[in-house]
Amino acid sequence: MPDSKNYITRPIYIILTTIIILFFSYLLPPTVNIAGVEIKRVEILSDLLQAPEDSTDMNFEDDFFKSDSSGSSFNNNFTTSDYYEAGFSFSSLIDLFGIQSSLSKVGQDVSIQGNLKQLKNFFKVLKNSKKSKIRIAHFGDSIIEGDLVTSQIREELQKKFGGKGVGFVPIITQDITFRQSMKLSFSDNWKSYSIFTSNPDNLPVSVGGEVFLPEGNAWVQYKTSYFIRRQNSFSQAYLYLIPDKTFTLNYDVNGKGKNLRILKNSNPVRVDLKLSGKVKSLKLKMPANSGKYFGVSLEAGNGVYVDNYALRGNSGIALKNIPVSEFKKFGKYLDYKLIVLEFGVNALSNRPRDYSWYKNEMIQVIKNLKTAFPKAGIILVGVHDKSKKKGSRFISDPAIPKLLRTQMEIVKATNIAFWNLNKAMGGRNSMPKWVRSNPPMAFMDYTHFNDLGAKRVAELFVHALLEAKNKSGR
Amino acid sequence: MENILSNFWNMLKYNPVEPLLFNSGFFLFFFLFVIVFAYFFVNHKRAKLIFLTFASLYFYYKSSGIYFLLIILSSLIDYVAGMQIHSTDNKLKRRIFLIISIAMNLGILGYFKYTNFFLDTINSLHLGHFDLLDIFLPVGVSFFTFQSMSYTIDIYRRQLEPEQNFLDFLFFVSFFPQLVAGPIVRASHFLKQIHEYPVINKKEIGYALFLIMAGLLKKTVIADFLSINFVDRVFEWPTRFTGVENLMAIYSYVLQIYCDFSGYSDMAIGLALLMGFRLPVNFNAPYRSVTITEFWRRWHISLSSWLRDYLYIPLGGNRKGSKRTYFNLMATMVLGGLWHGASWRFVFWGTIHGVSLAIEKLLGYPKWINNKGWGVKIFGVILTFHIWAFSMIFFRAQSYQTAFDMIHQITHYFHAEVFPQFITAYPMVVGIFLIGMVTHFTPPRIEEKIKAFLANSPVLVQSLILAIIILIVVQFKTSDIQPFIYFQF
Repeated sequence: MPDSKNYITRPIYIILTTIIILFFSYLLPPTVNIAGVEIKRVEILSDLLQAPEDSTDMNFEDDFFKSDSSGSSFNNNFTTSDYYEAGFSFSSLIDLFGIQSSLSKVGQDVSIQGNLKQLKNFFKVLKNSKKSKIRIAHFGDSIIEGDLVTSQIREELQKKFGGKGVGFVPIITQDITFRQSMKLSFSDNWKSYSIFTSNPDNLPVSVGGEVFLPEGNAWVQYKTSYFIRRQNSFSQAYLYLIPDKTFTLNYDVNGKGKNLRILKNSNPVRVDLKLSGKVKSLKLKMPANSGKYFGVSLEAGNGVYVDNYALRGNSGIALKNIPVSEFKKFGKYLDYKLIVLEFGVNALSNRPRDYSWYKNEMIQVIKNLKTAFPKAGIILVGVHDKSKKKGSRFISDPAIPKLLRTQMEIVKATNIAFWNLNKAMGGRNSMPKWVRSNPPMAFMDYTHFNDLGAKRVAELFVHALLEAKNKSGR
Repeated sequence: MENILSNFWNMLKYNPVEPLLFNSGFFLFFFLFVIVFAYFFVNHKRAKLIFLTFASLYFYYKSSGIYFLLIILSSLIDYVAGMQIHSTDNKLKRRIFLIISIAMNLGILGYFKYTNFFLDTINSLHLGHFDLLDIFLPVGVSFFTFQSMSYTIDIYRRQLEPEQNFLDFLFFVSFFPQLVAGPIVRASHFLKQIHEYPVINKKEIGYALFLIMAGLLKKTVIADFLSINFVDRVFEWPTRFTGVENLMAIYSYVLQIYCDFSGYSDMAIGLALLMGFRLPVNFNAPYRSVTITEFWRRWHISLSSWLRDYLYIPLGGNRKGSKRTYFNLMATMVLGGLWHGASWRFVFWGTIHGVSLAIEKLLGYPKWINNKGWGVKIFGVILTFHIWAFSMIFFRAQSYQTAFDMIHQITHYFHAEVFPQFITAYPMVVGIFLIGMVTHFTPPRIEEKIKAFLANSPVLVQSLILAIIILIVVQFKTSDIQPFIYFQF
């Protein structure tokens, strides 16, 4: 017989009992293991009981570069009380009803700090950019992979100081499908070695730490793309290699065949491919066993060239493995006036208890770079904000303040300059704002910028660079 | 103590980043509060409806801030229009008030949802240049405007008596379970319920609990988990991934959107039922459909039937010759597509389905395949699933470029050899995907057994199971993001 009683009070008892059960589960220890899986508590009450966020650990930053007494550092006078403010400061009414803009711009201008004197040479040559080629090396991790950030720094600087073309490109890269500044294709018989993965025979490597050998007759093709205006053509191309024998290189320029004789050499050489006019496509055909190849540089006359060296998954310390002598062999051709180091996210994921090891390694990297490129100024970019999930919310990775401080100590110890990208993003807990901005500026892994976010980062960086240039009176 | 008070105040306030959803901890307390007071007023119908209306408006405030005023204003206009239409036999007057109501509802929908789409289209056709406007899209606009329109149109058709009391009507429009994401409730179906004494039997308790639990699991464990840990990152930038990953992301998205949407509908139906209100069924295992025609009878049923009754049939349905029938079918599906989002991609999405329905109709395909054996039907299920999956590329992708990139990666950069790596790198994603798909094809009698078990259990067991489900949901809500993995090939 069907039960036709009215059970309308039953839901009240069910929900109430459920809440009581959940409340008791809250009294259990914070983590319980069931079959090796960690069980987390229900956070229904944790919202209520949570303490206001502790922001003291980010306070160190304000005075860090001011207390320098060595005299060699450039003191600049900013204060950053907004650095660690996570919340909004809207009036209470707006807060209550949430009237807010859905098209908001993320990021804020932040000056370059630390030793700006060592950038003077760069600023000086920048003034004469019409008369020479000025090279910048941009080293970084997956944040700059696919020519992200770099391509937009290049675009901004080329617009202002001249130059056209993407600069140095390796023979093959892993980011071909999402590189927007050019289209790269290559035969599948290239063997690549790098100091980051494996280089058992200690082959000489490029500034980017890589070398490529053709196993049989190989080819590589560089085509320009239309996404970035000043990088949609070039008129000069230089091939970097160690020719193991004297041979004839065949290549197609805009589909038209050309060739060039390359003489045997035991050191890296730069071969001018003698192009002319607007080139949009270049295909090189390398004979088997002809040599060790590093890459090409696509250029167009005097101006600024920013070379992208993306080391996926790296914290920056691997650069130490590139011998100074190798750097120097390239220094002849790639005479860097500025080196930008953008690392950190991968040092976070290692989660060390202290970063003194990282500090020592990076100091060595910077010393090597200084010896190899004595005329170059160096800017270290502070680690950007990256979120971790806490409960169901996204908060800044708790190791960030420690790493940021370590990076500042590295800067101070090596007497270079520092640009605090973390602060430029908006400081603590800014990554979620980049992810949720309209249009989005970062990916939902709460770690990587998308192309729009990378463009914004480049904009903020170039702005800071030009501000420093004006300050230096050049 | 001061700290707890300020936290409490922050919890009660509107927070644009955290709209109130059924699967949040706060909602559990909100719902307990609502059902306790609703029962307290159970013998005072007026007091109960006023209380529930205020609770619903508060729920809307928690999701969309000040825009709860929009619901009150639009309800007032529809209420007056309904009264006016009913009060006269003057054809012109009836028509004018119907037009006022429809224009106001479509106006709200158009302004909040389609202004920038319209401006953007003008810009891209070089007919002029307009800066896009900063318009916040209030939650649930697409749903409550359609609900209100069913009210005035039904009165115009003399199928419904207008509601005498404005608060009763406001309650119908704002009732919180279905306010945010449906089902789209018809005035004719709902209004009579609000005057009845709430009744729920034992079997319905089991049904409601089943819907809420299944909804929670579908929304949090399957949809949200797949979305954050896999689907979003591929759709964000498909060229970073191989064809294998792109294809799996499309399949996962197809499962995700079903679990998200139907899970939320299920919870809405279950929660309303616990308060003694019966909302229409919205999803019926759509991926079991053998044809696209069948699919649209199983997917978002309250929308398809709304479009049928208030768009397709008024256009003439299939009564005006075959040419006109096909035109009506296309128009309904294209506009239905546009209802889902303001972009030409949704128009294209609607077109894919309009064309599919038209072809099936033209060939008499549904009748043919339903007379075949199970082997052919399985083929039909797979084909239907893939037509749907293909259309969903355009539904989810940010732009046509992204959609074409995905298709290109699948056709030109597939790299089948990363498949084993994919399985070992994303065991949770693969596992949850498989569980989601398998349960979708579980026979209904197993579902019935679970419902019966829940119905016949004592309160303590019912609560314990619900608490365990909530604990599972919390594990997934708070789990770390699965790291990005690049495959070697």
